[in-house]
Amino acid sequence: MLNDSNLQSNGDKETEKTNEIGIQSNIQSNRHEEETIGSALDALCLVPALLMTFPLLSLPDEIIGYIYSFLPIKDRMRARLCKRLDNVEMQHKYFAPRFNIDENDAKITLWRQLVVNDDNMEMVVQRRAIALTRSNSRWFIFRNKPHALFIDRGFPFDTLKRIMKNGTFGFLYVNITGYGEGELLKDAILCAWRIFRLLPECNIDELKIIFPFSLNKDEMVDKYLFLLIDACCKLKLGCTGKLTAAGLNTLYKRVMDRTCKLYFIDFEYAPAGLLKEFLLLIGIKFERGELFSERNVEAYNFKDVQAADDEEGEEMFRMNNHVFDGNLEMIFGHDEDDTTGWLSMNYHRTKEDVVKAKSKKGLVRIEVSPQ
Amino acid sequence: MVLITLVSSDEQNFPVERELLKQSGTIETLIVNMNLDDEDTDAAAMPIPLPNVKGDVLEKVIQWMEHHKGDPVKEGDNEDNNAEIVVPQWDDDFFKPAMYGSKHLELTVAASYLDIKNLLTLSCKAISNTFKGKTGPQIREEWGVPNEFTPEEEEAIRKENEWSE
Repeated sequence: MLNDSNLQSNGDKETEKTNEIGIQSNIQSNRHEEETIGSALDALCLVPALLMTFPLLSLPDEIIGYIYSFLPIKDRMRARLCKRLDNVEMQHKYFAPRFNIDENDAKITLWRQLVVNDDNMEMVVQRRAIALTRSNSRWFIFRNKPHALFIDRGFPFDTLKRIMKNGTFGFLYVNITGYGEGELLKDAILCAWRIFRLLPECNIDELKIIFPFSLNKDEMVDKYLFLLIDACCKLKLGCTGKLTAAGLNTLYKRVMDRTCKLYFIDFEYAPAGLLKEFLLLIGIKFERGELFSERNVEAYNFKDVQAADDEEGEEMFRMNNHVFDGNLEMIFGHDEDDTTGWLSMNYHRTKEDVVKAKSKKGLVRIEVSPQ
Repeated sequence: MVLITLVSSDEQNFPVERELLKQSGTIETLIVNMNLDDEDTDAAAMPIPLPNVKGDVLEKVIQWMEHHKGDPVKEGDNEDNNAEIVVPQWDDDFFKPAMYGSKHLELTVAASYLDIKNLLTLSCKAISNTFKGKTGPQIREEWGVPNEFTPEEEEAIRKENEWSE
């Protein structure tokens, strides 16, 4: 018995020892598991908030998207905290009252002056500009205007693309004038054109584009204009580029038929020849400042006084013709040389708006004879 | 004053003034479908079950509706002017005790389920206000969002966001 007892005792001790080892092993195992879980938690950056019964990610995508719709773009981009939130951010639209895509013109102006004054500085300018534009991932400088979004920092094009496709813009301003020569100029044009390709995919109230000096003539074609007029309500272009009279005629028809989103367009400059050719296509002859038409249109003159810009302070003005064609008001004219002209179109949404426009102070009714 | 009884998911009864319930598109539809507005119908005998809203959350919803009694009911979705929306002080104080907790989020989901547009808008706006000016890790900590990005993905996002820091 003793032996048995001893055996038993020994056995118990063995068992205890085994159990002890087992317990220690379990403790170690548990510790290991705790450490593993702990490190997993650390890896996941889990925090007490996650332990709440209803964390942020419990919300449906629609509500998270709605929450994101209230955020300014900077905060919204920072709130892409996991793949799901990244995806939700990408799928939900938002409104930006004002959005500027702007070369840092203050610096460019300074650089230009430096280029003019000192050949050595040109190298500096070019190196700086190349550094800004060469990398595929970082192309642009943005400037923060009163309600704009970006401070002077490089900005990944993919992020810009994401913002533009998701956004509804109150006023979108694109000012890529282009500068430099050779590779530098190519880069600037490529930058500009990548942005211009995004514009027709945006939802914009008012769009103003300043084209690069060497881009306007080549890329501003009818087809591109037709894409823009479906993207914005108001469009301000600094030129007519390579638009044709037939293209302007199509624009006119689509605005009149209301088969586009556009209500207002302003070509700051239009060659007088193009302007007259377009007017002829819609049945209006414009010669030596006089208007002829067999159509039922009303015409007015308006002396548009510009601020004095010469040393003697002589008053500058240009004579605008306002032609009302149904709800459409076209404002146009050309300089004394009959070379440079201007054109804008404004489709008034109601008859009351047309009456109000006709009663504008300074408008003088003029005769439109058939021939 | 006509009272209509709402029943939460945990079987708590809440008699609520009929007029208040006009703020909830979901309850309004149920009232119409159940003919509770008919003079012949005994509305008190026909409680409206809300199986997706817990009692404590429903209590907060009713409290909010009582304060906003008579406010114009928002119609349709207009997300264009979201940047302009301001959370009034009373609502800010109302959401604050529940902020960073389950309660506020549950209240938001309830507002969505009950189709109370003004509550949903203000609640979401209040949540979004807590994101403003904060770094990713700060928002993660406050709202319990795990970081599932690989170091490479996180670095890519960090680089993308450099301009906004």
